[in-house]
Amino acid sequence: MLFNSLQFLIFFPIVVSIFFLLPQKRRWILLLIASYYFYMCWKVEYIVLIIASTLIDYYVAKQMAALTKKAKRKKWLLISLFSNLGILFGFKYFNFINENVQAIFDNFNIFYGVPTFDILLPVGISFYTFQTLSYTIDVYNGKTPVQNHLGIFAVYVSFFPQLVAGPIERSNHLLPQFFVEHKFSYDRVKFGLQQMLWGFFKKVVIADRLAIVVDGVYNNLDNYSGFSLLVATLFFTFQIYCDFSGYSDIAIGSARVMGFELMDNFKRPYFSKSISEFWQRWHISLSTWFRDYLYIPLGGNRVVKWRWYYNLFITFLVSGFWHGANWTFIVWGALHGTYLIMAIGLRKPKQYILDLFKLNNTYAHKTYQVGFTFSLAVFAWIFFRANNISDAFYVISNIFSDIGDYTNLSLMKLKLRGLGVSQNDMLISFGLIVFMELYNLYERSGCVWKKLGNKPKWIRWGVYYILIFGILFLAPYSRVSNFIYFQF
Amino acid sequence: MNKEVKILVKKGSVFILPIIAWICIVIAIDPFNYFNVSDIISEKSKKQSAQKLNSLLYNAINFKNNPTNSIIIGDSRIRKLPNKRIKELTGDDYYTLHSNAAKLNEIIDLFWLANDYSQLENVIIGINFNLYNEYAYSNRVADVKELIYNPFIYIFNWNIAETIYLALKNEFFGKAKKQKKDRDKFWKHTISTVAKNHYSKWKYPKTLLSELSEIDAYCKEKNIKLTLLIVPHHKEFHDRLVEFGLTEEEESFKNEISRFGTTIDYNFPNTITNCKECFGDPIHTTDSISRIIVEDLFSDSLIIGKLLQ
Repeated sequence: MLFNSLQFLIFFPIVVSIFFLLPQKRRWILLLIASYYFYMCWKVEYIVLIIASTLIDYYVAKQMAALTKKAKRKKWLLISLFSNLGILFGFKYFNFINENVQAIFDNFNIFYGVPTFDILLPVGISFYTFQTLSYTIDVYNGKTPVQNHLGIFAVYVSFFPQLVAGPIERSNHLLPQFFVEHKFSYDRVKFGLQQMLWGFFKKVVIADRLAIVVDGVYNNLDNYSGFSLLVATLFFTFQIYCDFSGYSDIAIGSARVMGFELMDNFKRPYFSKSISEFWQRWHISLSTWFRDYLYIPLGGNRVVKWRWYYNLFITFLVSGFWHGANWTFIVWGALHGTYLIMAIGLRKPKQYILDLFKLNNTYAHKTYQVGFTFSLAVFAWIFFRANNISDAFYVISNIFSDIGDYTNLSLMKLKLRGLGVSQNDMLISFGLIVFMELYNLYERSGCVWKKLGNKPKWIRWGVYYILIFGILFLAPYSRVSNFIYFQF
Repeated sequence: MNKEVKILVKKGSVFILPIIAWICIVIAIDPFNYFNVSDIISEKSKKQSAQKLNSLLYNAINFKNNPTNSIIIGDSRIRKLPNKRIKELTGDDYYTLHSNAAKLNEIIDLFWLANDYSQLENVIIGINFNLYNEYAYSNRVADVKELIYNPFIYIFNWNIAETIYLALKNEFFGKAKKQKKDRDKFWKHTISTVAKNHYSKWKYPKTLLSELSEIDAYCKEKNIKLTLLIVPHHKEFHDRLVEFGLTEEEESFKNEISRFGTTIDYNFPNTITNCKECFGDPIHTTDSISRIIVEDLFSDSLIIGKLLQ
């Protein structure tokens, strides 16, 4: 089920109403049924994978809890890792690896007869696999107590607001919340609804509108060059942010309506002053997951320099691969790893220059840092969005091919018109990006909704109506589209 | 009921009132006759506003509400073919399902849309070389279909809101007088800019051709009389095609579409294409010429038009 569907608009109030009518002891049953139904609306059979993952990790954790020796616990941990990652590999990566091996064999004219499977990637498999794995690893490390209630553990794995695209929750944060009675609170429900509203606006109005240009260009690259590619790439930069942070806002907001607090996933990432800061603000639940379960176990930064670089690079490479079975995602991850290594390597000379010209903490330097980090992120997004590596290189080699014509306004206008949307639509798109970034700027000094709560009613309601009517009227109505991160 | 729940229900009920009010306004004004239940606004105001802002949607809904067995599908060039005269000549009610600047893929979509609402017997498709281009692509019929099937999208739609405003304006303040176009200026614009848009980028329309052949096969199977009509352009406009080096492509276009149904061509050097007064602009014939074309098209033997075989 999509958040941006009429189905969800009916489903959600029904679930919330029943949730508050039920006694605390029985609420997990409702949440489990609702979550499984939510998932099964997409494909009924694949619920088996979630159930399998749940049962494996429930049982493994119980076994590990009964053992005191770490070596014995490790065997159980390996069972969980192999089975969870095995399912993930089978459904997500098998065909990709198989095709690449096939290509290598073909190169040497060697027969390779392993067939590829025609299977549909289960929605959200990477998300719920990582969520259950974090629980098992935490139990193994003694960081979280074992969960004895199978039903509540099953809800933890499949909790519908964050089931298909996160935030990837940690067991010691989310699990205890299922045992606490959440009473109906008008203020909390209102706050949750406000966050959902903003999430819907970002997804339905901004991301889906930008997607028209982005998809039009990136799926027909032969027809475009220069300025058109630049506009489409910039639009994708904001599309993916609005799409994914919009999803996270709806997830966090809908959980909050029922009294659950999920972790923040985005904190104005495009205002980051370095790539390292960018990763503290972008998809926080995933970056902290990789930090805690891959980067630190590899040794983190408490190792010799070359090993530190290696740890960073591997973490980002795997992060790229996590996103999808395509070389484009691997290159995207490798690029971010390289950015970080270069930032560390160039730290001293950079500091020397800043001291020499007394630029430290100046406004100009901060602006430059934000601009530079943004440009690096945009460059990497080319690989993320391109359908394959050669498309990405086509974009890179052509994106500035007509830079000399930028002063020719009528030609630029003509290029914009060639993107397949009207001039008004283009203006609306640019306006919406500015609006969204102004919201983000305003949010720097505190939660926008809390600040709005202090304003008179007519302002508050005015803002709500603008957003609601914006969603209803400005959404490109023929595009009820998936969230980008569903594919991961 | 919990006190806080009561507050939410109370505030929520008040909050939702403007949204309900909007739904009522759309159903009452209904410029496209989507719900077809209210006549608060005159049909004339509805038609004027709806045709201006979304002729495709208006025509599609109008056809859905009043289906006929005979249709003419195409872009603005076929709009002027007089249905009344066709009725006099054939006895059949033809409906012109047109859209301004329609592309061939949209015309194909319109055929299938019309086929959903009517048992078709006669179909005339207006097709010219500029439509026979893979790059000439637009996807408005998909949007129209979404609108037709989902009232929620119709109610909350910017285009419909604009049309409601215009319909109310037309109803209560009268239609604003249309400024007369400077014919010479528009003529030059069509020759220079419109022709350039049509012919500067051309790609063989493999997909469109196979979709056309699907229609042809379907018409044969269902015994629907399919006519492809190439309307005349003024020779100055046609000369631009030659300048862009597309003469051979045009020839092969005519050859290829002549395989489908009955193809009748008016766009070759003849008394109409050589006469500037026969056109409002280089690609739209005047009312009187459109009438002559219709009379020729439905006569026993063609005098002006050429049957392509």
